[in-house]
Parts: sequence; structure tokens; C-alpha cells
Amino acid sequence: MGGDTTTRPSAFPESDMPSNIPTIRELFEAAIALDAPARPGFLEKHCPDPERRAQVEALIAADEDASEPLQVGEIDRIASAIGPTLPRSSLPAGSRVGPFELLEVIGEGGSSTVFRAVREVEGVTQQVALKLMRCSLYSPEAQRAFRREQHALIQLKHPNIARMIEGGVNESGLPYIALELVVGNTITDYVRTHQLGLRQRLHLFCVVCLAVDAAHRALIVHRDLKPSNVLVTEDGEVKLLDFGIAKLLAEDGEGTYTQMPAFTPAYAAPEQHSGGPTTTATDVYALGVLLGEIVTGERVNDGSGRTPSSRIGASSGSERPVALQHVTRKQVRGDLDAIILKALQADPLQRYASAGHLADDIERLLCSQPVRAQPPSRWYRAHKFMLRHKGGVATTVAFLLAILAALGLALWQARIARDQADLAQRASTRANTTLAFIVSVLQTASADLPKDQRPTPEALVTEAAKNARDDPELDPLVRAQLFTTLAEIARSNGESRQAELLIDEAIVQLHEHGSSPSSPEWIAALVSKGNLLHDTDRTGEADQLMLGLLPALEGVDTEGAVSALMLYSATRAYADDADRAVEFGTRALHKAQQVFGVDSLNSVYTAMFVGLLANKLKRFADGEVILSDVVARWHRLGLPRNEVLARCLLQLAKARHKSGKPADVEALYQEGIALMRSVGDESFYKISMGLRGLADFQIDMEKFAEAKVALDEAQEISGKVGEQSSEVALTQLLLARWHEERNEWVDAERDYRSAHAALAKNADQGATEAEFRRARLDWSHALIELGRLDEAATLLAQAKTAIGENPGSNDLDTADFHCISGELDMANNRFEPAVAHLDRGLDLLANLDAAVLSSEISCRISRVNALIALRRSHDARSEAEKAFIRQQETNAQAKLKLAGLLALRARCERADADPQAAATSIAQARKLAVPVELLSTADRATLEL
Amino acid sequence: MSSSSTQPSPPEGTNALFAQVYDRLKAMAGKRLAGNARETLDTTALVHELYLRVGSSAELRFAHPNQFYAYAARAMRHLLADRARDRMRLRAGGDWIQVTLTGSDSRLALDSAEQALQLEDALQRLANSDARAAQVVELTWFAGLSQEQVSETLGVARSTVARDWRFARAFLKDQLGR
Repeated sequence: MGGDTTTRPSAFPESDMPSNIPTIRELFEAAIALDAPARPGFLEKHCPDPERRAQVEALIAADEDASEPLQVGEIDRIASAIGPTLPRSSLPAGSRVGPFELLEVIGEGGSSTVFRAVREVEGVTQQVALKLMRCSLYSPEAQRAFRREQHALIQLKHPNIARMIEGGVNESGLPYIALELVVGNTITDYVRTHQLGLRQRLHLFCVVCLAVDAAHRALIVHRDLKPSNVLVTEDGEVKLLDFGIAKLLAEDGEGTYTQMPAFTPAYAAPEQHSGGPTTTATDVYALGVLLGEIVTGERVNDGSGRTPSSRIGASSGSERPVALQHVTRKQVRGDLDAIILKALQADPLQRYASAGHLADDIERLLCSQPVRAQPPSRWYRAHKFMLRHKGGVATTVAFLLAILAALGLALWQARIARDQADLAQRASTRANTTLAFIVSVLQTASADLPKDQRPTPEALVTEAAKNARDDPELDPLVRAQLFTTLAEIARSNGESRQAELLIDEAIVQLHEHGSSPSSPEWIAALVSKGNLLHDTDRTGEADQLMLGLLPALEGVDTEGAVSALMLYSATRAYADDADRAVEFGTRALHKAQQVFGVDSLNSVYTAMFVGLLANKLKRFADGEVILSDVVARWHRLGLPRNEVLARCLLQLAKARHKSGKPADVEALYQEGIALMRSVGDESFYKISMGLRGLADFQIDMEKFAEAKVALDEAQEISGKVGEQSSEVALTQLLLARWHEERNEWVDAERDYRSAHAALAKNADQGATEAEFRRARLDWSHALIELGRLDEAATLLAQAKTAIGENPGSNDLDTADFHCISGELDMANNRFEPAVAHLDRGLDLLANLDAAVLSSEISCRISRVNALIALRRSHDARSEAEKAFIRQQETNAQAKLKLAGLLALRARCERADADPQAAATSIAQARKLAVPVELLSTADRATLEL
Repeated sequence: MSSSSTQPSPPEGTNALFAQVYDRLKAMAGKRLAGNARETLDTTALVHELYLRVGSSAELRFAHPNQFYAYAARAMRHLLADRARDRMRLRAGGDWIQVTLTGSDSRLALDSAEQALQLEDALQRLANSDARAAQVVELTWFAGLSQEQVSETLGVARSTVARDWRFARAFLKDQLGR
């Protein structure tokens, strides 16, 4: 508990009793401010009344107990358990509302009560369901709207829609509506209790769709479709309740005006949550949820991103007690998945154009015709036809094709993941997941074939391509699309050569067909080709290809366009063109959000790509913002806690660290590492990557002991990969830095040397080129500290050549090169050229996107020393001051660094003949109480420690 | 504990704003619970949702967002207590409405109602002892505000809120016997 114990209530002067009697709270606060042993005496003195004293003592005991008076969420639990509010303002049974006599309550809503009611119409007793609102309509305007809507609803007559009989306002001003009384079960209960098979369920659902469609044609939107509003009578007749009522009786009386009508969150479309316009597409969405629930028994829009079919237990009824034993996963997979997902599109325009179209697709499914939900429709339709007329392997291909829509997404995600993945990891992960996927399809597809006769995925692709090539009926465009898709499958199998042949064939087809460069087919084919080039280390060609495609992407909002922009962003990053990489990454993100919705998995992945890209380009402030959002979204959307999230957490930690936001860095690293560990041992090297990031941060914070623990574990893990691997070298680089920060130069030099050697061995792989350059610079720095100047000079000359080969591409290296060259000049007593180098280095450092404090400070220290040597002690003094302030502003945790900088400042002040200031600096440094053995010899001498 | 022994102040009938906040939260909560009986009611989410709605309506005007939360937290607290009392009365057969609850739900509902009334009772006592501390609890529990937001709403220093909370925490734990 964070109580404020520093301020004592003034009611207790130490001397005598206050004139007014202190309150229980005053006594409590004064007592807890004291040490426990002092409390009884205090209470005895100030609270003689034993009853009050017992009270205070009970409070103190409660205060010391760590538990909370109420657990988080307990209020919610209590409120839920108590149940809905009772209708205090409702009328008792037997009273009248308009012409109706109320008989009994049959339902309770949030804002209304539903009664069974009767009236006499020409000698006949008419039973109705009467819905009585609890709140009156506020404004005359709302009342007019009520009458207008009510009129429209009375006109709506359909056998499957419960009729609205009449509406009005009762004597006390409460609006009511009388509806046809329906006795039945909710549709979800009905299909379960009657144990309907899939076909019967779909037939029933079609009836619902057609009724909704009829209402839509009368321009009435339901707005609140859900199982409890879709009843089935004992005769099996569907009846939709409450059509348009949500709008009519929006609980606020403001629904019509603010577009924030009443709805049920679980069934509401995204636009209802976001306050967008409610249209017929809103009902289509709700129908999608309903269909999902009818066939799977679960609400499918729970944000898990699972396909409807995956919710059905593989073996019947083993997982869930309410298992739908009458519908199997296999029945739902494919077309029905696609239909449900199309109805559930976040973007209303991407859903079925009407409930009638949805019904139409269900009917097509029921007679094994191609469904509209399966994109792209033309080739799919053609092939569904083609495949109906062929046998053998083609049957298997049919299944293969049926999953392509789903596979396309998986591939796309795998591609993003791959873009950040390590070369080695890349091939295996992707090939395994997609292979596993295809294999599972094959098992389903050709279960009737003996094992040894089942075709391999490669053979399948070849066979499918052959079919596509030989079929004279096939439209060239369809053929091209098929080739593209098959190429993607081949690529995901690691069959680059087969993929390239296929994709080239697709491009030729498209070309001959005169296809427009901005057509989805063309974009898809070129993206596929680009990815293939990128895969096979022809990134330059991929870059050119995407560059050529850019003009065609203008105004094209498709998945293909997103992929194209991302690929271009990646190839630009490879070409070290940070600005364009970030620009196009951001464009890809915007487009993804536009195409898939902000909260879609694809958008989250795209954002992650951009965040990792920013980090890779050392734009940590950008990376921090984007990745924070990704992680927050990941949690909010309830996405799985997997390796992708772990990677994201580690990169976010790094971005925070490097952009000077140390607050959560350690916790983020720990969380990311823990998650990596829980993912499994395959990602060992990623754990060591996380450990290194953590150690890097801890070294900056001068938490040397903790950093060493992390580094030791990283070293152990790296060792398992191989003694000579670059993994080991990367860990060694950090160990060297660990020693360097502790002024242990002999150890630092040794570790830099071996890291450099290991990296040199792996330099041709390209992956650790940057680290290799760093190792060279850091090593030469250590050599200078040890006075081994010739070796340092040789290394620096090499560094210069390396930088020369790649000018301007790595400003930090160039800056450090100048800083270290300055140090070398200093060590050789060439002070003027030293200052020139150091000035240049500082200039370059100031122009970096992200400040690199360690380089800047060490450059300033060297500059101070050079200025002292040049007897410009005044300049030296102000430079030393600047270095100290920069360090303190940026990382005040680094006490050792600060002490060293104060010692340096003291030396300047002495040189500047200001012993008094020097004494102050020394006192300040000694107050930091850093471990003496970690100070450099010079600093120790200055500080007289 | 019987429901008659705890009589928290009724919703401030004189205050039209309060009454409206109360009614609307009640309608929203009722709707949530009626929509899906298994759904857990998220009271603080309701308060925030209402806040968003109020932002776009002319009928409820608050001088400052802070004022809204003070009202809403109080309304939510009363709502819970009122509902709990309703539920207890039902057990006594004191109401005309017949509510069919399944056996276990009924037991749980009654236990929870009793718990809610104990809570309300403890809050009342706290308010008698230290009104501001009680309000801090109200804002924290029923509107889900952080200590910082509470300090903003009440216009007092953070350290004061922390002190209020510490006292309130001890007080309530003592009262609730946990």
C-alpha cells in the first residue's frame, strides 16, 4: 500500500494532548506512521477510550494484512449473479395498456417488459405479446419518430416474421407495442433438441435469410438479430421477432439520432460498435454469426480468428458436452467456412450484398454448386465445374483447391513472418507449417486411397498445373490465376524452381490476355514472383519488379496491393533505403487497415512488420510507438501468446531501451524471454537473443551482476548452436562490452578479439556484417586503451576500407570510426588532428536518427583529454560539463559513468586553476558511492579512492 | 443481515441529472444481463460506455467530465444496492412479479445480493466516518478510475487520495471481516 506516511497529522504535537479529540482516522494515520513497537504507547496516550482503541487497532491489523477488501471484478460478479433489474415501474398484471389487458410477464428486457396480453376484437379474444417500455420517450421529436417507424412496421407482413399489431403510448406516457404472440424455441435450441443434420439446419437458416431479405426490401433493418429473436415453433415454422424494434425503441430514445441504437454486443457488427451507419449489411453480419452458431454451436465472431469448422470437435463429442454430433468438421470446412466468413467481413461492402444473396449461396452449397464466397470466383467456378467431370487425382485436387482461399491467407502471414525471420529458421518453419497443412488436406482428400498411392504435394501441383494447361475450356485469365496459386504452393514447399516456372507461365498468360497491370490477377502474380526472387536472394530484382508495379497500385485496395507495398518496403530496407522502406511500410499498413479493418489479424501483422522494420533501421522512437500499439492490440484482441508475440515484446523492449524510455524495458524483456521459453526448445537462439537484449540494457543501467547472469545463460545457449557460430560471437561482443564498461580492458580486448575472429569466419553469410564492423571498431578501441597502437591502426585502416565500400550507409560506424581515430591520434600525441576527428565524429553522431549515448560520451571524453593536452583547459572544462549533463539527462542510472565524468571534470577544473570547483566535483563523485574497483586508475587517483 | 437494517440514501431524487444517469445505467445494465444470462456484467465498462454516449447527447450536460464520473459511480453503487434489495424482497415474496430462477442460480443470486448489501452497509459506515474516503472507494470500484483520475475528479492531491484509500481499505476490510 502506498500510503503517505511522511506527513503526520498535526493533531499530535509531541508534547501534550490536543484540545480536540482526534478522529479514528487521525489516530490510525498517526499510528501507522510510527514503528510497530511505538504504537501501543502512542495509542494509550492519545486514545484512552478502550473501545475506540480497539477500533484503531483493528484498522491497523487490517492495514498490515496484504489482501484487498474486494477482489478485482468482484463487483461485476456480484452484479451479474444478482441478475437483471426487476421492473419496479411496470404495471401489475390485470391492468390495462391501451386496449389490451395484461395477463403475465413473459420476458424481461433491459428497457422493457414483455407481457402476454389479450384484447377482444369483434367477439374474438386476440392474444398478443405486449412490449411495454419503462421509460417514456423524451422529446416530441422522438415520439414522432416512434409513430413513423411503427407505421412502417405494421405494413411489414411476412409469414416468417412476427407481425406487429399495434403500437402506442399508454396513459402514463410509456410507449408500447403489441406483437403477434409466438410460442417456440430459439433456433439454436431447436436444431439441437431436434438433432437436425447439417442440411436441415441450412434449410432452416435459408428461411430466416429470406424473411430478413423481405424486410430489407421493405426498407426495414432488424438491427438486433440473435437466436432469442429467431424462434421456431413446434410445427417447425420460423418466426422472427422484434423486427425494427431496436430502432423503434432504442433504449435511449436517442438511437435514431445518434446512430447509437440498442444492440447486443455479441451479435453486433463492427460498424455498430464503432457507431457507423446501420444498414442491411449489419443484419447480414448478424446472420453470419447466427449461421456460425447454428452449425458449430458456438459464436464464431469471438475475435479468435478461428474458422468455423475448426470449432467442431474432430472426434464426435469428445471435447464438448454439447457437441454437435450431427455436424462434422469436414462438412463445414471449405465452402461453409467461406460463406460464414464472408458474412462476417468487417467491411460491410465485403459482405454479401443482401440476405438473399446469402440464402442463395447456401442453396448453391446444398446442391453442390460453386458458392460465391470462394474467391476469386471465376477460376474457382470453372474448376469446380471442371473437377466435377474428372476423376482420379483431380478429386484430390478439388480438395486442394477448396482450401486455397484459406491457404492464401496462411501463406501471406507466413511471408510476413518470414521477412523478419532468420535465414536458417525461415525455410524450415514455413515449409513445415504449410506442408503440414497440405498433408492434412491430402489425408482428408484421399483417405480412400492406400497410403503409397497418395500423391505428394509436388506431384499434386504438377498434376494440377497439367490439368490447367491442357483444359481447352479454361479461360486464359483463370488459367493464369491458377498458375499463380500453384506457384505459391510450390514456393511454400520450397520448390523454387517449380514455382518460378509456374509463375512465369502465369505472367505470360496474363500478358497474352492483355490483362491490366492494376488487375488483382496481375498484382498477385507479380507479388508472387517478387517473393520468389526475394526468397532466392535476388532481392535487387524483386525491388525493381515492385518499383515497376507501384504506379499500378494507386487506388487499388486489395490484399495483393498490401503485399506488394510490404514487399517493396522490405526490398528497400535491404537496399538500406530507410526512408522509402518506412514510407512504403506505412503505406502498406494504412492499406491493410483499410482493406482488412484496423483490428484484423492482417493489420496487426502488418503493423508489426513496420515496427520491426523501424527497429531494424534504428528508428527506435517510431518502432516504440508502433510496437506498443501492436502489443496492446494483441492483448485486446486476445490473440494467442505465441512466439510472434514474444518476438514483438523483445523488439518493443529494445525500442524502449534505445529510444530512452527505460521504464518497462526489463519487464518486457523478461516477459518476452519467458514466453520464448514456453514456446519450446526450437527457438533457443531467440531466447539467447532476448537475453542479450536484456544484458545490453542492464549494462547500460550498470546492473553488472544481473547482466552477467543473462550473458552466462546466453553463452550457454549459444554454445549449443556451435562454438564457431555467430551466435557465440554476438554474446561474446556483449561480454566484451560488459568488461569495457567496468574498465577491465584486458578482458574486454580478449573477448573483442575472439568475437571478431568468429564473425570474420561467418562474414560471407552476410547476416552479421554490421556486427562484424562493430567488433572491429570496438576491438580497436580496446587496443588503444591498452596502448597497442599499431594493431589498432591496422584495424582502423580495415574499418575505413569497409566503410568506404559502403559510404554513408552506416553513419554510426562512420562516426565511431572518427571518434576512435581521434583517440588513436591522441595516443600518438597528435592532438590537433585528434580534435578534428573527434569534432567530425560528434557532428555525425548529432545527425543520427537515434542518439547513441555511449558513442557520444566516449567521443566527448576523448575530446576533453585532447583539449587538456592542448592546454585549452577552459574549452575542456565546458566539454566535460556537457558530457556530464548529457549522461545525467539520458541515463542517470549509470553511476559509474557519472562518477568517471565528474572525475574528468575535476581534472579539467584543476587544469583551469579552479581547485575549489574541482573539490566540489570530487565530493559529488564520491557521494555516488560506486564500487571503487570498477573505476579507471586515473579516475580513482583523481577521486583519491 | 436483513435488508431493512441498511437503508442507504435513495438516489438523489431532487437532482435530475443524477436520476437520468441512474436510469440510463440501469437500462444498460438490464439489457446486458437480459441479453445473455451467462455474461458477466462489466460495471465500469458500462459507466464508460454511458460516458461516451453522453458525450454525444444534448440532454445530459456536465460542467466537466469529472462530474460525470462522480455521478455515475454513485449511480452504479445505488443501482447495485437497489438491485440487491429487490432480489431480497423477492425472496420474501413481497413483490407481485414471479421470477423463475433455477435452484442454484437462485441461491447464488441471494447470496450475492446479501453480499452486495453488506458492501453497501460498509460503504455507508465509511461515509459516516470519512465521506471523502468513501467517495474515493466509490470512484475506484464503480467507475474503475485510477488513483490519478480520482485525484483529478475530486480535485485533491494524489497523496491525499492514496491516504484516503489506505484508510478506506483498512476500514472496509475490518468491516467486511476479511
